[in-house]
Amino acid sequence: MTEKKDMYEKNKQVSAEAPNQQEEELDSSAPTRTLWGDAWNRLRKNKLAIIAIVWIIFMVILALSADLWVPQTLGKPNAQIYDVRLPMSAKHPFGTDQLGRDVLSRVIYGARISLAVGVLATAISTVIGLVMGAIAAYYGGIWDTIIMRLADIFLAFPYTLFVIAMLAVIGPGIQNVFIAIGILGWPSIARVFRSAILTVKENDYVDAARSMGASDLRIITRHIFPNSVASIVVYATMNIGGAILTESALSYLGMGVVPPDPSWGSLIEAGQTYLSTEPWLMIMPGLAILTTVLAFTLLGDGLRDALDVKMKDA
Amino acid sequence: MARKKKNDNWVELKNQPVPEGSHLLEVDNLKMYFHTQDGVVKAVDGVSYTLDRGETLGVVGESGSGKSVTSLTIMGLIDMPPGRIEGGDVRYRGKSLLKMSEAEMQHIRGNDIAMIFQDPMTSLNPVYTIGRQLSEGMRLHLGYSKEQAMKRSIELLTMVGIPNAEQRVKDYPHEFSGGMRQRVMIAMALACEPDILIADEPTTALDVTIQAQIIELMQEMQEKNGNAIIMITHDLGVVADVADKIMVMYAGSPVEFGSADEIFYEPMHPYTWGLIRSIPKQIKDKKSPLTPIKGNPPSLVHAPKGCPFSPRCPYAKDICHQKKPEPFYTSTGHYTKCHFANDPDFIKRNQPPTSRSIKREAAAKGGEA
Amino acid sequence: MGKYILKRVLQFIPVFLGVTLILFALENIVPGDPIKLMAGEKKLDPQTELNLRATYHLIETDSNGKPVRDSNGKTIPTPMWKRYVLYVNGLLHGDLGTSYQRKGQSVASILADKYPYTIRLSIVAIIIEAVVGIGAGMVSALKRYSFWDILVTLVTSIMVAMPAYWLGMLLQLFFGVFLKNATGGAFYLPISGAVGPGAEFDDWVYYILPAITLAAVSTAYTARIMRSQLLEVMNQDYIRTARAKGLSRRDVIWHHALKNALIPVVTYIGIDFGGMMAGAILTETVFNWPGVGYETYRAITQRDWPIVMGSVTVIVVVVMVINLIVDISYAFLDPRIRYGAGKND
Repeated sequence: MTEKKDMYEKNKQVSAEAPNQQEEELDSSAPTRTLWGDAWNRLRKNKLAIIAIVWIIFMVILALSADLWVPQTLGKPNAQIYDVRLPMSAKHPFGTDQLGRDVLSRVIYGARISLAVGVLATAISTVIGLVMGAIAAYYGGIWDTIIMRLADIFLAFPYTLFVIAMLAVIGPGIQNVFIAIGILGWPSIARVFRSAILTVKENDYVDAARSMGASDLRIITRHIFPNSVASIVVYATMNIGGAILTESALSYLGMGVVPPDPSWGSLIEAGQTYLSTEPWLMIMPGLAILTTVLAFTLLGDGLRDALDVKMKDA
Repeated sequence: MARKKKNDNWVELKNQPVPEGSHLLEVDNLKMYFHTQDGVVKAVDGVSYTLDRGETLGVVGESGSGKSVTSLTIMGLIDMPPGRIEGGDVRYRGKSLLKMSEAEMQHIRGNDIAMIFQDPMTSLNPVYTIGRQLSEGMRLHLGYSKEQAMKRSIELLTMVGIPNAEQRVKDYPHEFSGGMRQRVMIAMALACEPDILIADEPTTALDVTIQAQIIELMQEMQEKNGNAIIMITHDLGVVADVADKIMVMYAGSPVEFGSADEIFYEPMHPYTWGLIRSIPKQIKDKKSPLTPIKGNPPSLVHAPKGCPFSPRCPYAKDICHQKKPEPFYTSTGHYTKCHFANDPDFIKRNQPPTSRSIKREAAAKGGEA
Repeated sequence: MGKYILKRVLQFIPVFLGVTLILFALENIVPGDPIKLMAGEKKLDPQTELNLRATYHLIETDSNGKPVRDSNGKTIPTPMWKRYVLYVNGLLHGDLGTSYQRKGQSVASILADKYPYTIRLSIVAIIIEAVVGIGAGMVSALKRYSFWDILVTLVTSIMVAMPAYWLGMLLQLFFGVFLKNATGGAFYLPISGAVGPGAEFDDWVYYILPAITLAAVSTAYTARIMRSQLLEVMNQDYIRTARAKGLSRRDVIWHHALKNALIPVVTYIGIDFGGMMAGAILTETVFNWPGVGYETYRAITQRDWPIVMGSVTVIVVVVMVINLIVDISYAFLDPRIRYGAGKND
């Protein structure tokens, strides 16, 4: 059915060149005719990705501005100490917890921790992964063998167990959570970047740059990195969701963020006790995790399609 | 392998005589459009031809001209939707294929009409042995047992020139070279001795040296079995030696149809002229530049109002942009869709020099000297 | 083929050494003296403490297991490298060490207690994953753009974004609490693994909710992979060849498309089974399931390092062996790999 496909593609070409209406539409986007401009144009048309972006921005604003307007004090119980485990109401949209604290406020403050861990841990593992991947792919040989074996060793560990063991060693707490998640996340990024580089390296323009006497660092930063940045961006976006999930799991197990700091995971853990009587205590923070992670996944999917990055798995 | 029970009422069409007054295959003003989100794609727009046993029809056109889609429509291999038959008919031994049920069509496919495809590298299933894939059709259509089918597979492989066939049936497709795989495809297509073999660009993906071998093999098999061949290609040169009839397609419909001699020596349509001009010639003492056809095939969604070739035709006049040309028939059944087909001067003036006309010119010059 | 297996087994050695080395390093960075941890609140008399240190190879001993003393009459701490060698040596002889806290119990016997629960749960989960995942993926691909396709895409997206332990609680809430209340206690599913060996635990209903929880995310991935694979395969030229032969749509799907599409799916499920054998800490915690994952987690929090090291070592070996089996079976499924041929030649 290749011919049919050819035909559609040709139609697209022809119709993009000829009819006037479409020309006008193209004109409006003409100044941004770059990789990112094109990608943004495609992303704009993806409704799910736009919803995801809106949701992420909403969560970020909510988390950043919480101190300005969230009325309930944190850490210590509410003034009316007996208002414990209130059901959902206008005053307490998500109800109150076992200490009488407003659950909505705690979920909003939890967003800070989850988003911070997601972004920072991803940043750490991306940086380590990029350096490792670049060394392995660019220098090859023994470096490649050592780094990829090391990645194998890291990946041979059951991930959750490894993070927990690491936290047992360095102790719980928010910094340690993103350090542990960040350090342990590098092998997959390194693999992605390594194969991206190997693909780019095949291209003639890299040979051309080298023949003109460009240094290794210059070739990597000027020629290879810009051409594999799309796959890194997609991978990192999806990784943020994964990091948020891991953080919540750690906090649920009591290995992550320490109370009274609210984390979505620890809120679920606290709510589990009242599962049969006040289920909203665990449902609400869970929904916060679900929607946020979903948003990052959808954004990652959208970016993948918009940047035309090929990834192995669904 | 689920073997289909043969319906007792089913008449083996292959063994029926062709009804008086009709041909083995008659394609009659066939129209098949794709209904897509972007609009209606007129992929097959009024194709007509006839074919008899032992004949070879060459279908020539650029990619996107609808030449493959026409054959897939005849085979009932177009997904409907998005495809839809908009008119016309396809009759095989007098029976309309378009009116057949899916089960009846399954009986036709592979048994009466077989098809081989462009890329032999991807047209064989990588996870099954060659023998198993060859046997499949015979077990389905001829009711062979596993052993019978395997024995016949070995014979077929030997016949298409694969050495050591007893061993090779146990091999997987990736263990064969491209040319060998196309031989396997031919063996597979001919396994049930079909009436018609449709070859969709069978040599495009092969090395030049292998191409001739494959074409020869198909001709050899045709002589042996007496089947008809529909040879689809974008290369007029490929069909030059083998085709009895040639249909030149453009934008979903035939622009010219005639015997091979007529197409090569008396071409009437400017598009056919363009195709002939773009065949490299091997005349040593005279360097004539190749003349490509300028532009791209038109969109099948927003087809030009008049003649589909008019935007690219160097001879186009106002009428060409306004009105679709009706087919113009010569006494021999050679037809073309061009407004100026009835103007012999126009044709003579613009026709490319063919080997015959070159000879004529040379003779005339020699006579003068 | 034999060469391939040998190569894989040889690759396994550095990974194995690396894993044990990292674990060993982790153990020794951890603050706190293990003997003091073992003792807990009560004071040990010096002789018992000395004996324990000798037993755990924390100090140098002579051939009779008696502590060696230096010229000042003090015990000599065993150098780090020697302890590592002793540990690996023990591993190779099947000695996983002895638990610090569960006195006298060998790590091997603790794991032998826990593994059956993990294995059984993993098997139930993998069956759910294979049946539901492959089935949903097939329906989704074959009825593309239909209601079912959209539903599968939607549900899998949500599953992948959902914390598995939270899903476990929702299941407990619905099947254990809501259904119980709604039917007046007539119908509900048990929400806890009922720790310890007992007849009640052998009842298959105990497996339902934990297995669904454990399988949920992987099932979603399986369905997605199956869908994309089948869609890709259905567009292949050889599918058109099969149809041109006159095969029915059903035969084309079952005989030509499925085998090709299943190869990567089976690989994924196999590797996932390896992952489940690592024990599902979260699922086992939510459902009080007495498996390896929960035991390892408990050991980590209590700094019972012999159990952590022993179980992680065993887990890593099990996971790698399963991955090896998956790779080998992959080669059997796909003739292109079996003969060492590249995809395109």
